[in-house]
Amino acid sequence: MNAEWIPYSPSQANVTEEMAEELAMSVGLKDDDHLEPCRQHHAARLVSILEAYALFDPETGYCQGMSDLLSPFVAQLDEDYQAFWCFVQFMNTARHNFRLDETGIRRQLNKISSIFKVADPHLYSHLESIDAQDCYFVYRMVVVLLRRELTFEQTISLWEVIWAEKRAAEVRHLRNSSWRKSKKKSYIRDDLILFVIAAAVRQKRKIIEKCKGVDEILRECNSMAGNLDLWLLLDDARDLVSALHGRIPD
Amino acid sequence: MATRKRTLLKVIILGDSGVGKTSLMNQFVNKKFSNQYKATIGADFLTKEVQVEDRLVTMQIWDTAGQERFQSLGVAFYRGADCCVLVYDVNLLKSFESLSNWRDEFLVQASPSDPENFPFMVLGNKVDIDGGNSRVVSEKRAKTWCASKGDIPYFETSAKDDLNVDVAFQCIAKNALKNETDEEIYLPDTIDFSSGSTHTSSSCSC
Repeated sequence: MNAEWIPYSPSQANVTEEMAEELAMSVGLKDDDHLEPCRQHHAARLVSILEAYALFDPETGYCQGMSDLLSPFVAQLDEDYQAFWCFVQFMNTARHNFRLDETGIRRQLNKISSIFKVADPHLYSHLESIDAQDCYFVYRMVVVLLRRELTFEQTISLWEVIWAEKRAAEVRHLRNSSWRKSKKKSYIRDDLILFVIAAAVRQKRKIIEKCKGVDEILRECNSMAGNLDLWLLLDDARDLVSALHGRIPD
Repeated sequence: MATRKRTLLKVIILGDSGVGKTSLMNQFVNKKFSNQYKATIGADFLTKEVQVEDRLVTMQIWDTAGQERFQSLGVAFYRGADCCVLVYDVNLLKSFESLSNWRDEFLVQASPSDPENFPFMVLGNKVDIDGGNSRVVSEKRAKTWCASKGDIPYFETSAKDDLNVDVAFQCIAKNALKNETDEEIYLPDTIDFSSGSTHTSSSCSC
């Protein structure tokens, strides 16, 4: 677990050793003696909320990667119940990433693949030529919504943009008829995250087009961690959305 | 010296989540250990050049998520593997019992051309914990299982204390090389017999 969240959460940064240990004991956390109190406390809260979630949504249960998604809520909210319900809301869509049959993840990888196919045929044909058009090299980015690639602050910003977009998409759906009447073009996508990921890959297209295998592409993608400019990325993603308007099914 | 092409050995590390796959890889490649757990999402790999007898080969070591939920990653990334390393935690029975599943799963997903003779390796990790007092899988039991699966070489390791990590990976490289296809065989001008290494607590057949 990374410690990036600590400066954003002064109240939790100052938990005492006793508090941390008591909570860790109560959730049965082991092998955590080496952690500083605030991190031990954070880890223990993650465990108890993820356990509650596994009971709440037994079909999904617990899966690796969920703590990446929960951690920002825990860092920002001092009360477990608040973090839990925010997480539940988040998981309404993100739970598809953790399905046992992997259909959720595959559907998204396919969509990213079709974004390349339409937006960047040259890149796509290169991916095809090395049998990488299934886009498994962005698997991690999709599963935990770029949490591993972005800093804590960038992650929070991106997720909020995505939630706002999703809400806007819902509102648009409700008012669909009147929107159509006004003939306004709308470039709102509730799957904006996939365009963001596609944009991140396209930023490296020159290197990727020289990659001779999927291993080299994976290396490029994994090495994006900590090196992304979120606002530039969002600009690129918006450009992709408008360029592909009507050509990528929702 | 005869001209030789650069050899890339693709090694896949499998095992339940938390047994130490990433740590073993990091200890071997970077000589580093961290006891802060961070689950691997998706797949990642590191490379390291190793000397096997008189050949310099590049090991590409693949680390994938240990949860069975991410199976399709296997199909995408196990192809072309030269060796598969199965890891369990000697303090956790379930992780040992999962080895059969991981082995079967690998053979299905990687579909090697000669599954009968495909080189596997088993590592019993975390032998350092509690001075060995908390272990629940004995060395004998592990070796018996390995013998029953076609004499899979077995090592007991500690990624934390860097115990047997190098010798295990050295053996992995040798076994992976043995499995190389015929067209890659070459004739060296000189053969060096002096580089044989000794190791403890292993049944490496190479």
